Amino acid sequence: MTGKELATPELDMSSDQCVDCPPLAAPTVTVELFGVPRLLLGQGHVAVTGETLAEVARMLLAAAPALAGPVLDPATGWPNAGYTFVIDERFTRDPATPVTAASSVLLVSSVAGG
Amino acid sequence: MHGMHGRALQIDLATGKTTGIPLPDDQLVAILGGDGLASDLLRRWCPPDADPLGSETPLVFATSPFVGTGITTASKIAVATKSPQTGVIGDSLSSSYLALALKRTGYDALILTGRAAEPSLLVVDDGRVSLRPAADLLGLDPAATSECVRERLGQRYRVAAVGVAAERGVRFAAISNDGRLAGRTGTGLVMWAKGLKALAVHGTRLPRVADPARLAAHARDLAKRSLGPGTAKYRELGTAANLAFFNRMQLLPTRNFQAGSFAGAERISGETLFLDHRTDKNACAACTIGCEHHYRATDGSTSDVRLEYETLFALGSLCGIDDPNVILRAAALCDRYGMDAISAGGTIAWAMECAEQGVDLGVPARGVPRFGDGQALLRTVEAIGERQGIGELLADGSRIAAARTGQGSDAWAMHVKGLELPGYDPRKLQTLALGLAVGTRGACHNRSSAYEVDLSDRLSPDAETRLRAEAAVAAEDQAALLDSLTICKFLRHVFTDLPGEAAALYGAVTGIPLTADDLLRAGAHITETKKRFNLAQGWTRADDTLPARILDDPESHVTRDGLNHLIAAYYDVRGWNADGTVPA
Repeated sequence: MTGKELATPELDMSSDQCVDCPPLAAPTVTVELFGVPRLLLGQGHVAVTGETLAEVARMLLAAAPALAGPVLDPATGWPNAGYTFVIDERFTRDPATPVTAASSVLLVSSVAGG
Repeated sequence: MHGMHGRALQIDLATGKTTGIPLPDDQLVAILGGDGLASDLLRRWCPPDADPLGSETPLVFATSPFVGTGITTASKIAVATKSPQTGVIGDSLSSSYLALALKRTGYDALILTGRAAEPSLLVVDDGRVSLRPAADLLGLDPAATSECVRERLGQRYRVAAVGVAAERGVRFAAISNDGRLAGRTGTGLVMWAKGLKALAVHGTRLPRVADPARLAAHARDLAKRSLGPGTAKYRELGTAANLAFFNRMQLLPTRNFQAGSFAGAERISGETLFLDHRTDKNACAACTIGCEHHYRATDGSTSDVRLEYETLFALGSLCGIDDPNVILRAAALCDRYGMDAISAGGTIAWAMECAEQGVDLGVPARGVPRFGDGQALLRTVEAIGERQGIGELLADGSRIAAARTGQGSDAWAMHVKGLELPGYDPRKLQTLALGLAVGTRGACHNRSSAYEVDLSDRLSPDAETRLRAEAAVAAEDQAALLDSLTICKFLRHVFTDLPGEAAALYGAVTGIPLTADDLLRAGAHITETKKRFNLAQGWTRADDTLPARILDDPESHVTRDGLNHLIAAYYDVRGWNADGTVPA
């Protein structure tokens, strides 16, 4: 595995709100990456916008296409079965989980320990 | 039953006499094999209040129905004895070819009793047993010992050996085979106390399985799924991947559990090691996962070293060391001496805190290691392995060392029942805290596995005591099930219904139609078997606890009262008496 440059997401800004994107006023959230996601991307964090975990995942997919497939579902951005989010020290795979700019958001392997 | 031979071989090392011991089907079904079989045979053969290093204490090696069947990851051997480090059960598992060789001898287990008159090599070749002088092997490390024995006997033999740590009397000496270790609780010292430097095994007689076609289909499917997301972490990065995440979550034991995060974590993280030090990876026999990652020091001070998270934390953050080259050298030294890196690191960290606290350890100050001093860490690992200088004290582990030292140093001896804590800070992991406290072999994350509950969304931090106790019991019983069928725990997320699929595999191998519930009950029975052994050896309720540092920390989520309530609930869920004893 080698690190890759961050790709700039191509967003359709012709309408007030693109289908897949969170509201423009959505908070900026820093997603911290650990393990395989960090190695695939070659960096430890990505800043995205979103008000829910589902929105964060979609924006993460756009901002970090290197994660598509091995880590994130290429269609939805939602983490594959081997990965999970940790929000403010709580493990969750609930897409409706709200996030704020103050939230701690980690993307980690869902396989604990070893 | 199919899949097992239905007999064990007892070898009296004092007389050379061998005896075939029948293992009836009902006994094998009740304890499955592997860790369950080894623990059951230990309980039957070990007298109460035995001296762990006495000739009366047996050393048991056991296989399982799944060894040699082609089921991925199942080539594991279980070892059980009374631990010279803890005084309770010392059960350990080790992977690879030795398990296959033992399974082919025509026996499901070896029960070694007595003591050889001189340092010896025990050779088991199918049903034939011989004891040969091994004085010329003394002083060799386990890998060199194995190489010499196989050159002498033939490459078809597989070898378990002890290193210099066992020869010198280190209480956490391990038994090594194929580059793997039965690492914890000092089984290597017991082997040496029996007069054995090495055990060489060869055989040609695998038992038949009940339904080869059904087994092959199940095994193929499992092997295919083992390459999916449930094992990606282990395949890509190995267990070292835990370190950076644990550090971020304040779960990384640092400077002898004085903190849960380490400023130097990034330098020694699995991600950094992968990029700067990793050379290749390897797999145990009959394993499709291949979790074993090898690393090399960038300063040329080591060749390839196998490094797991537990070694990384114990010789790294726990001792305040952030130099990967030093950690790799220290890990290589532990392997060379043949000793448990967790207990080595844990005991050295205790000594480092003694230095910090100004405690007199009875050796010149320059001989006492300090947090963050890499060269001192390396010297101390060698001193333990040779049992010289400060190593004479530390070779007994932190509990005994603290008792000998006094001066209040037991306050920072981080062990349960004498076994040093693994790399999970239990202050924020309430279910694991319970699992470590009640664990039959002491502070062991592998036997408990309850960290899985804490590191998931299964229970909230304020979950009811009873629910948490039930979760700890379920995790422990599942671990006992895996350890007894000798399925690697790294495969656990590959199963969609672990006990159900395991029952299907068990049926295909043995021809005995157990249900998922039957297997879960067997897991509980195996845990209880180990507890009964401990009771016979003098266990008391006071042994089920955690170090004061964990319980008295105002930031800890685990208080003394809270832990006592959890333990009471755990006993109740198990159907044990309120004092932790087991009803007759």
